Amino acid sequence: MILYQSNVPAVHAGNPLIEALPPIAERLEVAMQLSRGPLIPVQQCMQDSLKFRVYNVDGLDQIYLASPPVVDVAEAFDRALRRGYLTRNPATRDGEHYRYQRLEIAWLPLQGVEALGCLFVEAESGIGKTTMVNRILAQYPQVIRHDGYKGVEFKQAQIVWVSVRAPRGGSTIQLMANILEAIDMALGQANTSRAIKRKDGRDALSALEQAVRTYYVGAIHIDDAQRFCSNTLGADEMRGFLVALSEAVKVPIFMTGTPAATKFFGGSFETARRACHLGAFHLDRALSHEDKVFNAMVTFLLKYQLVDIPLALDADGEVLKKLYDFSMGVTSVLKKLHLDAQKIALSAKGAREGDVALRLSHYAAAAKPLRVLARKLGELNPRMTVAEQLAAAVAEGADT
Amino acid sequence: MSARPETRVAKRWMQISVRPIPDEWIMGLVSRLHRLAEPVRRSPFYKEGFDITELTSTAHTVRKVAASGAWGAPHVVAEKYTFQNYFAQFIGGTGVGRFPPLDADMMTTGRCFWEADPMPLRLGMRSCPACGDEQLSAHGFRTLLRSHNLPGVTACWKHGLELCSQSDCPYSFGLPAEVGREHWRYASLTEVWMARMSRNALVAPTTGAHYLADVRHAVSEMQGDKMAAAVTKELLASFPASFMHLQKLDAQSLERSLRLMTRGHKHRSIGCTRILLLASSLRYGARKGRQNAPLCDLSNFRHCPVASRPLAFRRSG
Repeated sequence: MILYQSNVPAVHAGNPLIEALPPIAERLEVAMQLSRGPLIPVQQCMQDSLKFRVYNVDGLDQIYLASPPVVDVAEAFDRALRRGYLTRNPATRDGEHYRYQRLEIAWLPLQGVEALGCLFVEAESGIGKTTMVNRILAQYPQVIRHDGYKGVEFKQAQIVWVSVRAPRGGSTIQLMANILEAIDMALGQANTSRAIKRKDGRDALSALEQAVRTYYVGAIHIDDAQRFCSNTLGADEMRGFLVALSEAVKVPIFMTGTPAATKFFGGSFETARRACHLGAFHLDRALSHEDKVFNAMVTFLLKYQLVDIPLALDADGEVLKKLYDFSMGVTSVLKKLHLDAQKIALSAKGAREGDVALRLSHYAAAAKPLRVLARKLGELNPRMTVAEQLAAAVAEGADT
Repeated sequence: MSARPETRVAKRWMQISVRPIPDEWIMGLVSRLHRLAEPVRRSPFYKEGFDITELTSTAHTVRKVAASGAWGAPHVVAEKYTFQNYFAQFIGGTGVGRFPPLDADMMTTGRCFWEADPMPLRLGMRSCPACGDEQLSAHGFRTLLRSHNLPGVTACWKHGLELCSQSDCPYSFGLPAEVGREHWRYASLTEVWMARMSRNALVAPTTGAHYLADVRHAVSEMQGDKMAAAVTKELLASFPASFMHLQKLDAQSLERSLRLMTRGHKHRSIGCTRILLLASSLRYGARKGRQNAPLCDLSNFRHCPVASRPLAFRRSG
């Protein structure tokens, strides 16, 4: 049974696709919904022996703090999603027309990306783009199965979002097949991607267009947009494809990628920013240990420690400074160091039950293998900054 | 006591909402469904949604989709979105169970032949371009209506335009496309009369009396005797002598019947009405089948599913 919201803006009233979405939340509420504590009960974990607690540390991996820029992105996504459904009200003639309308969108190498209706989030590797997107999308049910709306028969599956990763090599047909496959998986029905692979780009785009229209797909998220850089078609063709995709499906496209993607699409971030009329966001790492977001992140992380004597922030900011030096402000690195440091502390030789303390030296020990791997990665790719090297080292799975 | 199979509603949950509009034909509904499900490969779509393991024929697909309960119980679907009521008045009762399976498909989809066979009688998949525009502005899509696809109907009862056939093959699912105004053609008065008469028989099916009342009304508006003579001439040109003999009809009695009808006599000749229906059907089939062909020839008549079983339409009451 779908609960249709009655307390909605006047422009959304009478639209079952929007009323079935979760209610519009206040900013603080959004931040709380996006943030997530550990999936394990910390108090209960503390009852375990040291030997077991080392394993329990891995349960802290799920913690996530939504920073203000992330809340901005979530709000922009919410607005874009609802705006996309605005013109597709199935109770109206135009909404029905949208479903049956067959557009002949030309897929040509267009100049510029002005028509691209997308929400773009650019961030360096390791800042938490994918986690952010997962948290934002998790706020919405992926599929809503309508059974009837205000006494009118309306049996319809509504796919609120689909999320795909850009294929390696940036193949456009593969991307469309991935989106269709995601639609299938959401609906739990037959696989269409095999059928798509046999078609050329234009037919595939047409099929994708109809699928999106049929099932009222709300938003398409494309992760790792920088992979399009390696497309052999070239930048212009790829831009043209994204314009055609955007025009054909007429739904918000939510893209996340590294600065490489921004350079590829717009030449510069400013150009891409103009193009992304639904919003363009840049999530940056903290540039110093005095950064407010970094401070909040460290405070949040330090709330979750499975040691007997937890590490606390000091008045002179030494802890913050050291943690910044170790992590270079990269979120994923900071989180990994936090977990690894606890493991080191708990599994140290002299550790005794009830007397295990977490110290900065444990963080230094945890950072050491990461530094080694980061240095090696830096030698392989001299263009990488230190922060990028660290993030890549975490992604490569450096283990202490 | 077990439930009748036709009233058993499947528990399947259709993922695509296709809401019927007034007078929509089941073929229009399934065509819309077909269209919206286009990106999904058809066989898994029908297999998972409607338990159709193999797409054998259009009629079979439509029957299964209708039986899935997507638009209500099958008997409701039959009444609201098929030709059941139209055919039922010729055979009495509701018509349920009175047709052999192949003819039951005809009641639903207007198809009664195996689709690989050559089609002697072209039925269905016709639409009025003006109605299509009205549907588009009112509902946002074009679809197929029952009143346009009744046997023998070649004109729109509302706009008086010739109906357009979207494709040569009436067995493919497809929605009407836009037709430019330069291609709109007005149908003859006879065709419009036939369309209105048939539609009334569809929307107000009782005993066939309405049908005759409409005939009287329509014909008297068209100057009675003149019209009766023209129709008689047309019928005689259309029907082979053997058929007329079988029906115990000759030119004189046929024209007399028509004249009586046009003058408002209460002469309820359901047989005569049936002849009109058949005439128009055959004429349509012959005209669409071959250019410059005679209105009807014997071979066409022999393959006609209705005319070859004339007794099937005798009223029971």
